[in-house]
Amino acid sequence: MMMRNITLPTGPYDWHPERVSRAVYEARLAAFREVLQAHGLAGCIVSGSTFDDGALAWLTGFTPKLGPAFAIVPAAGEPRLLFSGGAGMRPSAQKLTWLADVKALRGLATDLAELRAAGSGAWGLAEDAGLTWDDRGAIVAACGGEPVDITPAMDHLRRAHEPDVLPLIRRAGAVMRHVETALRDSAVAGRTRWAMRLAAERSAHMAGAQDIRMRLSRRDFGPAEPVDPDGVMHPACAAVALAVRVDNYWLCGRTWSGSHAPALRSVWERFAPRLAAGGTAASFAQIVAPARVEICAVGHSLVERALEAGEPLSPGQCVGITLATDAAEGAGLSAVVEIGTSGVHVLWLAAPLQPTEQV
Amino acid sequence: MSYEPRLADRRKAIVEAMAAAGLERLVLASNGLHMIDLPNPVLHLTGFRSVGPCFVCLEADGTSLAIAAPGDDGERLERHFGSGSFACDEPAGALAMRLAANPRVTGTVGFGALPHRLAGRVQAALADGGLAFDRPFYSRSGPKTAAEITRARRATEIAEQGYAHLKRMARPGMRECDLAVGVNLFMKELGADDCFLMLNAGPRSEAVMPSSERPMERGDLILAELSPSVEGQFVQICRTICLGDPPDATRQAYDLLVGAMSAGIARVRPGRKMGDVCRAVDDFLSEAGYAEYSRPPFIRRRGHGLGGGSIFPGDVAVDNETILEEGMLFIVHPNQYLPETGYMMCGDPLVVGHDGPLLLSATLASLASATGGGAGP
Repeated sequence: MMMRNITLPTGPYDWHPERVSRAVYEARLAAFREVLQAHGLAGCIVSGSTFDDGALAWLTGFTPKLGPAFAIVPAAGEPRLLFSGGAGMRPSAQKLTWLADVKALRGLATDLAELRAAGSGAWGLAEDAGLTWDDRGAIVAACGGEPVDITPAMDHLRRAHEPDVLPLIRRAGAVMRHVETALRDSAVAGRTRWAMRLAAERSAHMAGAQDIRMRLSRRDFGPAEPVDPDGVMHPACAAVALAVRVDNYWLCGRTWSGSHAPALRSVWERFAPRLAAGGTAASFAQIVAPARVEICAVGHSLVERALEAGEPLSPGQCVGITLATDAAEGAGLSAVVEIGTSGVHVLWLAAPLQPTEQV
Repeated sequence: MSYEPRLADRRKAIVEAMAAAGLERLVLASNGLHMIDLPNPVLHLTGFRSVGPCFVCLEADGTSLAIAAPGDDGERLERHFGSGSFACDEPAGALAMRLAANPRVTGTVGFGALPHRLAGRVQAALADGGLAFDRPFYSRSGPKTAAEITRARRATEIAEQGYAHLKRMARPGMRECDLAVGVNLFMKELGADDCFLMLNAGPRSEAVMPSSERPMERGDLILAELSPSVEGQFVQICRTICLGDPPDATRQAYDLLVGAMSAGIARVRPGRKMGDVCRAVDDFLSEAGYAEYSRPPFIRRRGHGLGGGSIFPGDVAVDNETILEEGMLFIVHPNQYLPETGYMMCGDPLVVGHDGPLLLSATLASLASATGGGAGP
């Protein structure tokens, strides 16, 4: 789900070992290095940017705040984290990650010059979509040629959630419910879109969220839009696109209060009992037709990649599911579920902000 | 203020610059990010704030067409640009097809900040990748419009009220990030649509940096650059607050920074070089015995232009040769590490007026203390 950026994240981003332990990160690093070994790589550069910091956050816990950041991961030895900002900002950057070697970026070409000395052989690159032409060029030059794209393999690793982090994702689900309640209360009270956004933002932060993004429809129909202070007043915002970040996990989805809401709800009620490990987007599509179903992994990216049509759900996985219909622009209903061995646990299920008859 | 340029004047100036350079078309690219310190040519030319990547084709006759992501933002795009403009999930591909079908001598703006695949896709459709036109684009349209200056004034009012709220909220034991979030929310309630709020605290900081979860302590110096945006126009005020009574040495050192800021501001006038403003700040501090702290690694710049659209006239830096023009907007901030106190922040925004600087803040920076009484978020 594409959302307008915020210019500087200000919420709680420090690494807390009691929430995500060093052992979890070390296991992720070990698994990542197995991927590097399988590809015969001397190391890998993991990129994170304002566009997408999911891969970097999964591996290091680090959230880039002032510009791109990079983890330099040799096949053996200590990884290094390079962040945008002055050298004097290192104390703040250090708190965001379990990695010990944290340095300010001086210039990508300069900082990566030692790569080739660090290990002979090919290098990999993960998550390059947000890189500018110049930054990617500097990486290619430092690697001595086109790096191997490790993004798909890393995506695969990122989709499996360790048992230790599932409580964090469940907590994020609770924050989504909390925020939705705040939105609903504001809508019922007839507040403006801007006031609705502020109420949601305040409730998210009070509940421990790091970040919150949203789009609301400006009328009682139509697609969700960015919320501007001068937005037209209308209490019945039919379409809401919502995303919250808690402990570096993004949960997102949308809800619809328009006349198609009851139909979407009934599709969900028909669909939910059939949700189970082993099911695929392709098999679910037959259940919900003529509505459409979109399934995305829950993880560290605001925009996670959709599951392949034939990719089965597996226990321990958390996914965002959106049921959509072409019958009305923007109409959709989302849920976030945790896949268990004998069923699913619904972490958040979107509910209309207003009863349909009021819209 | 008699000087009242509009977006239409800006567009006219840019079309003239295109003609002078022999360009038949200009392709403006926004990566969709709205930042205080990064330019956004689409916002600068058209006032449109996209959610995702957005391209605008400006033709030699002054007409334009926009293509933006995401695909469900079409209604808003059409409201702003009129019919013909459209939204889709792959705007670079859609634009590339149009450019290839109708080749012209084309300049580009903003491609350096685009994700590489988008830039590559569009540039592949242009002969020689197009002529990079960023510098002329911004330098020919350096002053803010009257509407942008109005927004900057409102944003400064919000920043000053946010600062007052910060002083009320701050208390020992509160986490930096909670203070930052609370101040941000307060400023949004006043109408800011976003805020770049760098805020940290400590007994002796080396720099201002993003907020952490460190609980503040009595005696800390809180460093804050409050930078709200109103309708896409950012401003900034830089402030230092002592959590408790500041020591005399800190007061004296801060007075020095205020003096340096005043020296810099006094140098602002149409026709002067931006570098002269920086030199005035540096000279003031050097004469007070801090020459070695007035250059890298301690200091890189003494202020900067203020986005979201254009960040022209750029940094308040000695090597900035830009000639100041009426209507330019920037902040002068002699934020400085001093050996006696650590880093402190002091800065206020201004518009270049006909006869000199027009300060936007009602009250200029001075060292403040927060009593630690606290206030609700």
